[in-house]
Amino acid sequence: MPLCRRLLLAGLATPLIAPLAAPHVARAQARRPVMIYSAVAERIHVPLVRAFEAKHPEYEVKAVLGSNGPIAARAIAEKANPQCDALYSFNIFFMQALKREAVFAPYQPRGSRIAEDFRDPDDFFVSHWITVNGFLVNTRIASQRGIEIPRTWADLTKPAYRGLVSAPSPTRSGTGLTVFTALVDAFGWEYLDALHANIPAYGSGGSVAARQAAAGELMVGITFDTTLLELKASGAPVEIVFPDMIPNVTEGGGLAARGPNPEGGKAFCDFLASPEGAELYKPFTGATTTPGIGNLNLAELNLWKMQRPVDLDAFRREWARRYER
Amino acid sequence: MRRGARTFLIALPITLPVLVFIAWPLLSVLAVSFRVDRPLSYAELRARTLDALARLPGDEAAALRARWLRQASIEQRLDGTAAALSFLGHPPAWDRAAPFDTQQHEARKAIASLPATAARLIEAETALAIGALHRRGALAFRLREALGEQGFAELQAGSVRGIGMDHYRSVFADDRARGAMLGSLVIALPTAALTTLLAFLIAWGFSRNAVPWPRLLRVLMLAPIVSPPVIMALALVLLFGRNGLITHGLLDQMLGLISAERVNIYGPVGIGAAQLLGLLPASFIVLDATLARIDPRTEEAAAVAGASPWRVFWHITLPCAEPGLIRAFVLAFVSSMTDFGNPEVIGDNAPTLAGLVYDEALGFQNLPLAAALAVWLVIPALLLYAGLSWARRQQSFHGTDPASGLPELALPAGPRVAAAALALLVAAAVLLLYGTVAGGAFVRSWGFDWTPTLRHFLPGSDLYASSQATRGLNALRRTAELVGLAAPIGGLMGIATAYVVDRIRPPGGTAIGFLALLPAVLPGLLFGLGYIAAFNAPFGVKAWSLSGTDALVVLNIAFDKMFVGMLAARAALARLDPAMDEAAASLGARSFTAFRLIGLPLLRRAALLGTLYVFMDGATTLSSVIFLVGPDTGLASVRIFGRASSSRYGLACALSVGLMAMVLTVVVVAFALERRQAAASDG
Repeated sequence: MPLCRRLLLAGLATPLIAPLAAPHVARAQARRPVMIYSAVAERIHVPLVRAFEAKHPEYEVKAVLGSNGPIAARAIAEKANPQCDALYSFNIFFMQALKREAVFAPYQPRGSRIAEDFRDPDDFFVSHWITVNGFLVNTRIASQRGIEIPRTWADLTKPAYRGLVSAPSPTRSGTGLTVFTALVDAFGWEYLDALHANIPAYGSGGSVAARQAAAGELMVGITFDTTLLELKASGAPVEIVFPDMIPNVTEGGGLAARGPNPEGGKAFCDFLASPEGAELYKPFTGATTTPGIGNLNLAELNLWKMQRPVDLDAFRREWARRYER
Repeated sequence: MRRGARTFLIALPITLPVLVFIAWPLLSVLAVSFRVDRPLSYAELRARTLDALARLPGDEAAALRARWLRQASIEQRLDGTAAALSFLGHPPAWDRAAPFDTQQHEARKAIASLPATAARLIEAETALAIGALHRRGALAFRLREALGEQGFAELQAGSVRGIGMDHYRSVFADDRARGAMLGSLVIALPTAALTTLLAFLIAWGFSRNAVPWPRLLRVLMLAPIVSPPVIMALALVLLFGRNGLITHGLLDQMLGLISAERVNIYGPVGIGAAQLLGLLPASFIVLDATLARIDPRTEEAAAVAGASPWRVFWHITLPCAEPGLIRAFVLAFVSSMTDFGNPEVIGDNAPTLAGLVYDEALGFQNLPLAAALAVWLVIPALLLYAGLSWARRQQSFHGTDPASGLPELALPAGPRVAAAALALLVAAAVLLLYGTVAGGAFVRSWGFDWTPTLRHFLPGSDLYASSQATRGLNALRRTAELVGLAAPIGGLMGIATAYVVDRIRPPGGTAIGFLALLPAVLPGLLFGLGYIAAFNAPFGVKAWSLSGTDALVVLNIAFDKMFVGMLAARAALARLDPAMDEAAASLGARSFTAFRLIGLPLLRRAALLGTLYVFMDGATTLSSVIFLVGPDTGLASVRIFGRASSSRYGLACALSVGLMAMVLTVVVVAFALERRQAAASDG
């Protein structure tokens, strides 16, 4: 009898309690944490995590987000006792540094369609998306001053733009490094000398120059696609121009060596490299590295491929010697 | 001797935390500066790669070499061919910096000119060279256990560890580092001199009752110390930048006098101006305390004896103020040298040593060089500090009884008006700049769209981070929790350290005082990375790791910023006659009781100032904390600095206003409580 009553009570109570208890039960079933270090923006990260956790209820994603530099420096400093399981959204320069510093472990994500060109030959990392750079032009200043909107890199060196152009500094920003190494490769240092004459100051971060253009401090800011699209969408009086040569960089990530939860790290890497993951970060990037998923039509852009070896250290030294007062 | 041992033990509860949470992490990270890695030569790399290949089972090695050759990119293949040719005695004669297709053509020509047997050898060697130069990383990971940690690290990195002074020499050898050092000095020396001069004149005016509304002006003078950092630079940009209200709006657009694109505040002058305003309060505190210690009766006596006011100033006031002047100058000089935020916001790429430390550590993962450059930043401070201590020992005197009545000797009209005018000018500048920031918080887009708006305060309508609304609030709460814990710890540690250094004076006390200043002197990122070095795997034991805990973040913030409380307390203690302590001791009070009954009440304001500073600075500069926070702490929302340096002025202003409002509330409440307590103890 008491058993019957208990069963009856349980039967009555279950539908009431279940919706409340279920998430707790799931959480109580020891969802193992997966620690992610990333330079990604939160608006890209959050939907990715939500979808990953829905697919892998056994894992709970924890993340430390920041800029490329500090987060990479932290991962390198923690090498003796690694705290993270996977890292993503670092640009190619930082991915190479993380590989060199033995933060990444070799791992080939499963179920990915990412093209061969965008994978590290040793499988230490894969690139998830490609970032292209262009001009953000303040149309209000252009009409106020009666200057034409620049369409090519050569346009930017015209005297009409003196003091009106800004770009991120290659010694302080990955975007700047991408833009200026490509410019030197394509047009030589003479071009940079001419461009420098029109640039009053270089930005310390990748998006500074464009924000200055959007805010009306300058007319042309050189920056990467996400910021271009974002500032255009913000309603500022600006136009996006993709010039005749497009400096570009890939961004991606990989598995951490000796992380606390390698299985979780691998699952996260798999998810990021899968078409399903690519669909999730597609809205925020120029183009993903998974064929057929992207916003910009890369075929229409002259994506620059480096023609000669780049010694990054020598490059920034030469740059600083020439242009840092 | 016995006194030494006793004071050592009494001071231990204060000195030990300072050693563990300041000295140890800093030593851990600065030790890296001596690390000089020697890259392995091709012959060495080749030998190690061959050795590793030999450890692979079966014919895996041969398969791997074939894959290296097959998968090589054009750049890797060229590197491999060049290395193989050199190794086999035919060094490449073509330009290795030429475009790839030119090089490829040259390489084919070079190989074709060799006999067939040599060409075959070169092909085999090229495969090995590609692996040794570019692909050995994966091999190292594959054999990590077999190679042992050292063997793994060396093969993986392609270099062997060594020690040396190379990174220290780079300040002289490297153009960039030398330029940055000079750039920092060129800004710091005049800034420090001007700051000290202004602070002295104003403090002198205050001490001789020459300044009108002294209470109000004093508050305005001190305000910048507990306001968000770089607020001055932010305001200067809004007023005098390329799109500034005065430079662009008034002088350029309305009057047509200048072109704001060319004539503006950006650059060394702007850095100096922002630093001057930011550093004035600290210099003022120091000089105010010093001048208050001069017995006015000495000056009065001289005047009565017929000395001219000029003579009194030159022969009594100035010599008495000298230790304070030196101390204020050192403080301003060091703060200016090590300032990273203002040059970032207003500097327009003027190279500074502090900026270079950040670039090297974060942009190029060259921590050894960054640490060495940071030591070069500290060396001027060390030298000046040593010089200062020596100067003070030479000239040790205490005002007989500082509380012996107010000065009655009036200043002559000239200096009186000058000091008052300067104080008013600075106060007006502070008000103007704060007003500008407040204004910036309530308009849509500064200099562009003056429509009043509240949107910068509403995270949901924030243009650039619309999806962060709920997380933003959560982050604010978390930040408030962590910083709220750190603030009282830092404030109390600050005054306790001051008391230990100046009153208990244990052996090595001066060193403790200097240690507490080091986090302020060194770039913040080193303090953060030092905490990883010291606490991620203490003594190599992973189980003792404190990584990712809130405790570590709280301790880092508290010890990073406790120096303001310490400096304020030392200034207050300087006004306080040590005879009081001695009296208490001779009446049988123990050190702790003496501190509680005599030290604490007099240091209450210093504790409050120190606490507020920890809170304000901890909530806004996250330079070192980013290395320590646990997951999902989401500190991004309170980075005024990030916002200002990426030209999101509206947000930066709104955050500044919010923080200022918070601090103002705390100050008002604290002073109300203090007054009630004072009234209660009187009654």
